Amino acid sequence: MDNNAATTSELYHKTPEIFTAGLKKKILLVPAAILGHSSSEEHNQVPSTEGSFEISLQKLPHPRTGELSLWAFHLAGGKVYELCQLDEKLRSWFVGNYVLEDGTIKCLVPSDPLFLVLPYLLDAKKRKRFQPLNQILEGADTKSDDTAAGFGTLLAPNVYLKDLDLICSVKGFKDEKFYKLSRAKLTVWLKAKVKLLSEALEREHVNVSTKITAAGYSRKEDTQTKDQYERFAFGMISDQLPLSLQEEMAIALGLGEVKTHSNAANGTEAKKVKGAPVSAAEDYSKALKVLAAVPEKKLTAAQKQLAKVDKTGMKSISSYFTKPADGK
Amino acid sequence: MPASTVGFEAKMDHASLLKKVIEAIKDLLGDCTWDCTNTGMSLQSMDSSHVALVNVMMKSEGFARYKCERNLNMGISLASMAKVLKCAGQEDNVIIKTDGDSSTVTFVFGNDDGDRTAEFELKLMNIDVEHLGIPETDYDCIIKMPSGEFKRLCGDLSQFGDSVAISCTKGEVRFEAQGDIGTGHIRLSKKGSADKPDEEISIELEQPVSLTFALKYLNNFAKATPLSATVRLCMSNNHPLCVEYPMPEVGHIRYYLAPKIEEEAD
Repeated sequence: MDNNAATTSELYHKTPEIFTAGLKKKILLVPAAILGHSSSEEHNQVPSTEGSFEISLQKLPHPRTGELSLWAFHLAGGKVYELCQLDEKLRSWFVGNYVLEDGTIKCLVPSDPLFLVLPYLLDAKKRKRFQPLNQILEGADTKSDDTAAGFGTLLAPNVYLKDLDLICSVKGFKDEKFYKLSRAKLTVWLKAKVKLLSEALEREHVNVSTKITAAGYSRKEDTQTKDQYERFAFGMISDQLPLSLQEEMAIALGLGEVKTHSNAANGTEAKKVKGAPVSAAEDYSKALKVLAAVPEKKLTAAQKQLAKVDKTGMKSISSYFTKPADGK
Repeated sequence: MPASTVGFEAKMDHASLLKKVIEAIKDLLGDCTWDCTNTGMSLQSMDSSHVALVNVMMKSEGFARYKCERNLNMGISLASMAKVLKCAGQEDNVIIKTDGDSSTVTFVFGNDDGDRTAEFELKLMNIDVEHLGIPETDYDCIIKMPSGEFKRLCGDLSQFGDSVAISCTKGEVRFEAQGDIGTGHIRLSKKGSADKPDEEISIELEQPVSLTFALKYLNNFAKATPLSATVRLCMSNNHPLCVEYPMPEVGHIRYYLAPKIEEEAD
């Protein structure tokens, strides 16, 4: 992703007293966009109010796994970033004249706040009603100490979730709105995201093919198809999608065969990504593997034909019939 | 658990019937599980895209001999089962047997004279099954027509478009497909014929229905045409279509397909 990371190490040699204070320091790479003009530094643990920017780190369940993870909210820009960390034992940072032993790379990866509410919208949709947002999030554990602040931040009116109408049908008046997830809108929204991302990948000549090449080395004839870029982009985006949606959306976006392709490609497809943050690339390969793991059956010609059928507007048949849990 | 005895044995006079059943579903489903109980053999499975569901029921009365001592599941690759059934002669009968503990199922084909038997063993598979409960639905509209007619109209319309809009009003049903080259309309009206019930077209209508479906799926469903002279299309608005091919005295094949819905409408 377009992560204009700005290292903030220069500041440290001007302020060596930080280290003498015995605090545990960490280095965080942040996109230039949230820094404003001057670069400044950020402590990992404390929501800081330093310089011209203010971000707050909150714990929220990750939309794909449901596990608690850290998200950075940037109020001024109305943006949400996922805090990613890449551990490597044998690495340390040089900071001015000092060595910082903890060599992990932490960076903020831009995300869309709508992903964060997606799992709850999916749950709420089962109730087949238009509902106000706080009711939709009822299924979430908003009361628990860990996440209460996070949801509080997320729900701040007209900041992070102002684009909710992009994926929901909305009813109601100015200050009282009721939402219901619309699969058609969701598909369009994701399609746009995949398109933008795949165009960006293409522009940056990111290697998305199965071949492993040295960074910076590209042969003319190794042209990668639009399709490959789209699949790769979808892999990246589905990193933020609930598992139950990944397959469905892959089919809806006409990328249904991601599975069979990535089978052969397996993890290598994402391993060597030129210019992209390494931690991120590792994640994408995981997402691709998740897709690959679902069906490993060989499809007959007729089944492949059916897989290609345009299924926009078709819901999963299981949504019409009762699942075994509540059925017989 | 009881010691291994013959857990399941069923004899069919015509292997060709079983062959037709498998041919009708094998392109839609990959691997699936036959549930054998003492009322019969049944199967329920979704296609790989999870927009269609197939339900096959073969009642024990439909078999020449049927014995099922305890309920068991046979996970089978339909492609392999089709291969085995290709080995059956036109007039052969078939015995399907497995004991509950073994990991194989045996198909024995024999002719009436009893001078030739052929035995094939297939490996069973462990398949995760997720059974969906299909409620008894009162459909808004039930159309009964000759199965050949349904096959023909699906084939004809798929030359024009990928999906067909079915709209049913009193006394007649319209099938419409649109595509790059043009449009196709097919209209069927009620037709009764006392002496040839198989050619009858009947429409039971509670309220008008109009739904859109993917034609490729309907074409696939039409592969069950050899099994039955008639087909029943059951529809309700915003509900899956049920295409039922009754097999007289044996059971039925039912296909369910999710409709295409313009979501903004709701």
